[in-house]
Amino acid sequence: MSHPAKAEHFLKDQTYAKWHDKALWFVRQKRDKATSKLPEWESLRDAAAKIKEHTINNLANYLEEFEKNAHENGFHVHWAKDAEEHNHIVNDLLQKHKVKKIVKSKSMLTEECHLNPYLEKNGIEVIDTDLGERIVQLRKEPPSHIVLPAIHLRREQVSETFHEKLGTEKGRCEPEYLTEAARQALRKDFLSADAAITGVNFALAETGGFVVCTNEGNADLGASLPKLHIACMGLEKILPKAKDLSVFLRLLARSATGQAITSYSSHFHKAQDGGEIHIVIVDNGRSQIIQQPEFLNSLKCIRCGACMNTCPIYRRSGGHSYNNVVPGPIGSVLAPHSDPQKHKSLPFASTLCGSCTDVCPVKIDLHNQLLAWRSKLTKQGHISILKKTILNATAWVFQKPSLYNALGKLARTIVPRLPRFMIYHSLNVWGKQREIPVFPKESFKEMLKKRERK
Amino acid sequence: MSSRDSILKNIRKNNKSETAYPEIKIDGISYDNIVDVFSENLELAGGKSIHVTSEQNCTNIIADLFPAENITLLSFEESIKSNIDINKIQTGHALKDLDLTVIRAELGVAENGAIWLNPEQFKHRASLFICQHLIIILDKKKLVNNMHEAYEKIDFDKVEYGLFISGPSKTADIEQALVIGAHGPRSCSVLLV
Repeated sequence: MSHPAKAEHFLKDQTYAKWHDKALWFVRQKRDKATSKLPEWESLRDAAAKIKEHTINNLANYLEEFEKNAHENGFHVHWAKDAEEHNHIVNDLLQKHKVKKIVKSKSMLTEECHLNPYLEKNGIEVIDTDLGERIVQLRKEPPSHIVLPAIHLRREQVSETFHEKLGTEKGRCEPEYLTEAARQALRKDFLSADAAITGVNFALAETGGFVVCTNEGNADLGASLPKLHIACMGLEKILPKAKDLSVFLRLLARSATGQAITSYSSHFHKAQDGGEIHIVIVDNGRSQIIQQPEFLNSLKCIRCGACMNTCPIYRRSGGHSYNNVVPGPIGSVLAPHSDPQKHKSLPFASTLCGSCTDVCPVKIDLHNQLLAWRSKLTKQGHISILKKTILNATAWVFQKPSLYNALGKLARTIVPRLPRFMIYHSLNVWGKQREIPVFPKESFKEMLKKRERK
Repeated sequence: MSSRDSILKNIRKNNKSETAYPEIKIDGISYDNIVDVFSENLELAGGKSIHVTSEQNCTNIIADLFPAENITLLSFEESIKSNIDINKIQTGHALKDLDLTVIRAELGVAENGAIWLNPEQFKHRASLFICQHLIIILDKKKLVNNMHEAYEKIDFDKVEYGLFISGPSKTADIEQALVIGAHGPRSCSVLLV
């Protein structure tokens, strides 16, 4: 289903849609409050953008440096060209260690690779331990946001799910009560898991180490109990130097949730006694983005989610409408690479207002990339004949000033007199949920001319 | 060709010309009242900051904070007595009923209330997360203004597992309502000496 179709469904319950909009805007406001406390905020964004750009331009060298130093730290490094190979590597490791149950902290990459269903098919129990992810896992839903996986749910819905799956009291909706119930249940899972899987926020070429950030401490608790820890990372997660972290850790949490830093930022540089750490470096289409200069910037993304929280379309259509693991502006830029036909409606799910670009901590020009995708998808023939015809006709008229003036005049005279059914019909997709503005008597040009004559 | 080599080859083929590491100059925020700002930001992160007049007082303060008699305490600080023997613990699982962990921090960061822990010969990383409460001892002289100053001080040759902790374990995954005590410690008190 396309984004507009899913968004229409989302908007049916207006009270809910307004609540969702407000919940995300609240996070955006917290971000603003946090960033305004730092006079150097803009220079941090500049620095981050520069470091990321440099890293992408030298990515192969930095990946090799990271691998070499990771080996020196005693880590095992694996490479996967796509999702399938990633899942094979992880499953083989788990089978070799006779793992029956894993605890997993948040990793958008493993979502992207659809690791959970793959492991479950191979007889491994997967427990997502981030509270939001656990909630959506129990509900058999995908996350609707990359930082706030359950932001689309109301407490009553969480309460029902927990009553059914964790045996909490029916009707008890207090977040404290529900969180405590999840804590008690997940403690048992942490203690009985045979392996841990985590994502990677930053991997350091210089030291061969990697950093994982959480608020709940679930990545650390998970990784510190069993012998085996597998960390899965997209190949763009590399930073050249350890001190680059000072820039990125200052930006990440402030952009994501408005916190100055997450509760835990753990720097893994050696496995604990008797343990093993494996790192899986995944391409899955990323190296192809490098050869497309107009989309290169999207590889800078640090997955903070700020572009979603601010996006007027995301806030009013919900993460699930995007039908992609990463929703919102950055998701709309990344998704069409993998399947342009499936995701063709996403670059159009934007007002191009540029708010995403303004808040992006690594200065990705998201609105430019959305526009670039529109043009690319149109050229590739992925857009509907109706939209294409309207755009072509408009372009044709815009090239002929006298025709444009004449048509404008005609429209100003005729349209206000037309009966409703002739304006709002199936061809006018724009007017589906909107009223056409009142037509002025004169065009701007005409008004200006009159004024000049005076 | 292995996946590794084909990925690297693909990147090299697509890469623009290599560039030099950019020059980064950031004037990180600094504070006149660094201790107050640290405490304020730690409390914003859900932590508690407690001023201690001398190292000797730490034991008493911990006893005041956790007066129950039968609490299990694991201390990585010589002057504070543990009542479990870490050397007898085989894996972190055995710490599942641990009430309290006490550890000394390397440095603290005023701008965000974060504390850098990099314990040497540190057994059972789980002890920092599986405990119900965490107490961190920090020398006030080891406070820095911001993360840039913090990373200047960290020597990664000596880091096996180092981490910034800012407050207790927390979540806001249910309707954005902040709840303290998600999976890890329900409280994080910093004794500023």
